[in-house]
Amino acid sequence: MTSYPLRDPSEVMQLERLGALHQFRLSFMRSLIRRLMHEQWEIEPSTFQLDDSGYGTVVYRVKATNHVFSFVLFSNYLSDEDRNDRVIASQWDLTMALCIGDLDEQQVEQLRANVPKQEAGRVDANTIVLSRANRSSRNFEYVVNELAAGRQPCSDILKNVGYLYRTTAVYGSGKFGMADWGKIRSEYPDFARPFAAEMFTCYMLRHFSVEQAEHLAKVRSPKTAVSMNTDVRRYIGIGNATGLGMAPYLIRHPQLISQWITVRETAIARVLSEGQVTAEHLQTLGILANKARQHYLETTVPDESQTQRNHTLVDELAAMQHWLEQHTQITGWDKLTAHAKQHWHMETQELIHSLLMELYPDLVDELEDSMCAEECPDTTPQMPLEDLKQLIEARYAWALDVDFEEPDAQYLFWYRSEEKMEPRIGERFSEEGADREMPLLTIARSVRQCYDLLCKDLRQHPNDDVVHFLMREPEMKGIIARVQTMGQECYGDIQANLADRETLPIRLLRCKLSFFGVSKFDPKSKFWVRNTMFQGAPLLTQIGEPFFDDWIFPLAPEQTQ
Amino acid sequence: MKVSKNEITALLKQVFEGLKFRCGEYESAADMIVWAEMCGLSGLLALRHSLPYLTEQSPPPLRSIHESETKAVLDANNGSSLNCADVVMNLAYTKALAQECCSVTVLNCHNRKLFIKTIADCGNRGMSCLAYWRDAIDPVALHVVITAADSDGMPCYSTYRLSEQSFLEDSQRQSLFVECSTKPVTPDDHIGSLIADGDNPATNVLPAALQNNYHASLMQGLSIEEDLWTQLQALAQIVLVESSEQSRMGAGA
Repeated sequence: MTSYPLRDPSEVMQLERLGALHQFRLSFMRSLIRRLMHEQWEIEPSTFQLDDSGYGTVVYRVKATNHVFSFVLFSNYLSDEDRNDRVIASQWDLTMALCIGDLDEQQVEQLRANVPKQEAGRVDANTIVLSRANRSSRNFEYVVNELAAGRQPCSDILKNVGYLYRTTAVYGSGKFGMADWGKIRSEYPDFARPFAAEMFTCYMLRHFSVEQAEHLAKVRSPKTAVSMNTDVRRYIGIGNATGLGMAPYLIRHPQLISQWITVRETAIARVLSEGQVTAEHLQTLGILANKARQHYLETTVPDESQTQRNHTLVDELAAMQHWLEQHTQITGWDKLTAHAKQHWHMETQELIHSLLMELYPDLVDELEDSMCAEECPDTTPQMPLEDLKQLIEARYAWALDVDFEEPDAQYLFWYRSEEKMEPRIGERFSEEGADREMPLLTIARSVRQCYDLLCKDLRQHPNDDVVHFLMREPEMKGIIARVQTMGQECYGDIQANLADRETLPIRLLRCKLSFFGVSKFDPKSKFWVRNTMFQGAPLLTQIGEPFFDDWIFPLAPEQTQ
Repeated sequence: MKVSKNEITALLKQVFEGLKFRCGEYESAADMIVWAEMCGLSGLLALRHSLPYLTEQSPPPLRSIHESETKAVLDANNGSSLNCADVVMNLAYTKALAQECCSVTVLNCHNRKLFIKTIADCGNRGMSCLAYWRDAIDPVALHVVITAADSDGMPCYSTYRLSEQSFLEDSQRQSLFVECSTKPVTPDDHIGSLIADGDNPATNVLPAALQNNYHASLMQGLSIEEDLWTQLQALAQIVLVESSEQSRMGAGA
């Protein structure tokens, strides 16, 4: 990546700002759709065995550019009372797997015996992704009934819930015996970008959800049933519920997260440095801003805080358009982003970045192959202790600023529950389990402990190096490797004390989900959030047609019958 | 049964965390075992043998017995290489970087075969490295590992048969010798006196073979005996917290 002036980590890596990121051109769903549209993947059902209740087995054959894959779904009966989005659930409406190659009958049987069990089953290294989904109790029956009656579902209802299924977990990277990421990255270039296979699974689920709804509508009323209109079909996405399980990932993969942020910031810097401002760009930005405003106006969620944030976005996008009308002669976008930073909320500032990146695909899109990172935390044992001290002071000032004498700074602890090892947060002074706190998740506190020990040690050993310090203080091995590794990264660690009483874990989730490319954040608590994936994305049936990469900020279709 | 690299690594980290390995140590320990297993060096067998000795007490730290600019003698206090290999190799690397060459002897150290990954890592850092140790059970067997600088992380691992007259002194029983150098290292300088002239190694595993094994494991998964998998899963439970209504609140339920 060419070097451009990037924003400072102290600005970018604040948790509040990371929690204000939006989907953008390099989000993984966007990259995936570009790839399969441009490369014209061929995807057809090879088995479609659903009974009159919609239960059965479906296999799609996926002929990607380099390899053939199989996407397998098992649809089973689930009672309403057993339908649960939590990770601790044990039954689902749909379970599915993405596998390498064509599958013979024996392989499908093996999958049928294990995939519906999810975490309790075992698969082999031929399987890339394992996932499950539950029907939206509000939407699924409604949509089937409307189609059966010969009507298209009402846009106003789809605005509230824009999906038929909600996925509650998407597992990859070697879980439960699946193929390791190293295998996918080195041998299967079609999915050799972070979370590409997981995103593809959700995309296929979206396609199946409509096919199943249409199948049921035809079964119920063969004479009157209709297929879903293309516009409506495109507006159907996939629901997703994301909880705390995603949060530790961001802390445990700091090099990868730093790389993602670096790529995003590089794209922004390219646009700000090289993006020519023409009348055409101003016009396109205006169209995009209108679309974004409409999108947020159509986003209705029960959470008051999120609703307020959406209203703020709508208002400040209008303010942005007004500002642009008064500044038609600007020669670069830096004036707009500087004004935004001074006058508008972080959500708006980051949304403007997303919008600006849309204007310059030539500057941005090639970065999509830079999202991977070699994750190899390593100690630099020969580093003089004084240098280590300076490194901490330079890169972890945010951590040293925390006063851990304050009880609130250590109020929370993160742990794994015996229930499916679900990550949870407890209150240190009133709950059991702090003795089994997840190590190294509270980086700030570990840095503080290391720094204090280091300063004390330096008084006795002023000319010593890291390895000798580690022989005296072996407990510091993990945090020193972390500091030395992340000290070399452009963006380094997320700058937040996750043990603080006021921590909002949902910001971590939002950050990761923005890189996935989801929309319509619908927080259910400070621990979990619903959202929508692939809403507005092109359909499988549109592969091969002219492709316009403009599905960001999907809008409800006009009502037609 | 077959498991993936990622899941066995994650499980082992949790096991070692529960066994009170220090932060940073439990990650290295898991990596050492998984790497050895993937390379065909029986990492999981070494783990099986060591599990009875790993308790829920933090392992003893390394003790320096002697140290100069080019030499060090360390006492592992009958601990496992799982806990100390990283620091030993970091010390050897640091000294070699400053002085071009150094040697480190570790006494009273178990599971020495698991050192191999850290010796291989030295090659990745641009340093040549040789390590050898006498087998504690079969006293006429000598294990030798050599890594060339920039060797793509794969060493050469050989065993030699020593003459029957070679007695194993108590001090050698659990010791390991490491030489680290900015220049290529050869076994002759170190073990030539231990083995008869012209002796060929009894076994010789070349870097390409290790690489092939590693790649095959990555493609097909690792084999693990079910009883060991079950034992590890039970050990991993130590770090989990009992569930309660209150704890479910902490998951947003």
